[in-house]
Amino acid sequence: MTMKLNCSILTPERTLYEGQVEFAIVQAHDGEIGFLYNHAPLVSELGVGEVRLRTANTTDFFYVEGGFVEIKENDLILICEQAMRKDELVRSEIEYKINDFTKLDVKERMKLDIELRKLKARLKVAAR
Amino acid sequence: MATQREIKKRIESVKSTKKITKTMEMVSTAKMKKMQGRLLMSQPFVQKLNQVIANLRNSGVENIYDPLMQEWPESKRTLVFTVTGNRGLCGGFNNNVINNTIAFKKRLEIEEGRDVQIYAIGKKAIGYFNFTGQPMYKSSLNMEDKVSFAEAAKIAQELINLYEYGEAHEVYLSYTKVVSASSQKPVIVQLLPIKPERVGVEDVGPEFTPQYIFEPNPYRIFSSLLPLYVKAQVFLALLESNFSEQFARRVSMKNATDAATDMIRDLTITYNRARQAKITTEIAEIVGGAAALG
Repeated sequence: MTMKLNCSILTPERTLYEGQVEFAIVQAHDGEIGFLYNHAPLVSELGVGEVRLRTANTTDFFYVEGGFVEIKENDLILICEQAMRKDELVRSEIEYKINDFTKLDVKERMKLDIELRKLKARLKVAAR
Repeated sequence: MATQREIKKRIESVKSTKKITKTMEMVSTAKMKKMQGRLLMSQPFVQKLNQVIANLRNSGVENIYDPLMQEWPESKRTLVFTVTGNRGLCGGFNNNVINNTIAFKKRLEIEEGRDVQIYAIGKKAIGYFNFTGQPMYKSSLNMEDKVSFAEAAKIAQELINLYEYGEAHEVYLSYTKVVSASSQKPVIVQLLPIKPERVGVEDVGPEFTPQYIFEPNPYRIFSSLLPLYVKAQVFLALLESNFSEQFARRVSMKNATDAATDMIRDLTITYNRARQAKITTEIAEIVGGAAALG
């Protein structure tokens, strides 16, 4: 018997990932949640951060931003406003953008705090 | 009857028009295919979103208070979000949406005494409302195939804000809906306030719905699901409108090409007749001349 979850990551513009995974770690609104086979039905809000999908001995990394995760009968579905694969993120580009933020004065940086957090989360995924 | 040379000139001009319409037909076919692909890609997302909302509602979270679902007391101001294209040459596509919007506006104004504002998307709608001197609440160009979810979300957020601050008590979408790949029709649907009975009703699957665990709680999930739902609706409306525009253009360009082909055939027949008539006249003249000499 396979102990795998059917996992899909959906964004409004495309289906980013579809496949079977053994173990999924998802960034929820207040921390990470792990999902294994036979998880109880759950709906949770997503945060800004990383999603790790592990199959056999490979791990895929994704970046997600806002949305929901639903698991039911071993179907794990992530509905995200925005999501990217690790290989779509360019590390140097993100670092460059973060660098731009450090040049801003404190007041403006406060305003753009969310953007900075998003960039940092992207960097984390890109650095994997 | 027109002279040989005049007819020839007309044939040439019709031929070059045909070339243009034929090219436009091919271009819009390609664009249409692209939009169709994007529509298909966004479908799983929308379906799943509806499903999650339906599941939430089925699991006993029935009477949820959410500002986006509350009707305004003494609601008076209505905003109609009208989506047309930037370009013409697509049959009745733009006019259908505009006429639909205007009929709807008049009905609300006269029958219910509401104050109706228009938010116009697309050069054609803007041009029309400017021409007829009707004020628009706001207007912007159609992003056509560059439309992204982020852009749609920005517009949707704007609409949500207008609704929450009471600038608009009701928001409607007026666009061309894709009923099937070969049939589109202009529709007007209510976007805000969200009618609870309409959300996710279509997708209620099996009778049995599992008891979900909600993180952090159903209410909070619900109140962040709804804006996402509104955003998806706006995004879909823009995509569907773009698809319909390309489809309409393809059909009307195909008709134009066919009409040009017919016209060329008729003109060629006329041309040959004129040529034959001229030859006959010439022969008659020569024979007549020879007879006169002899």
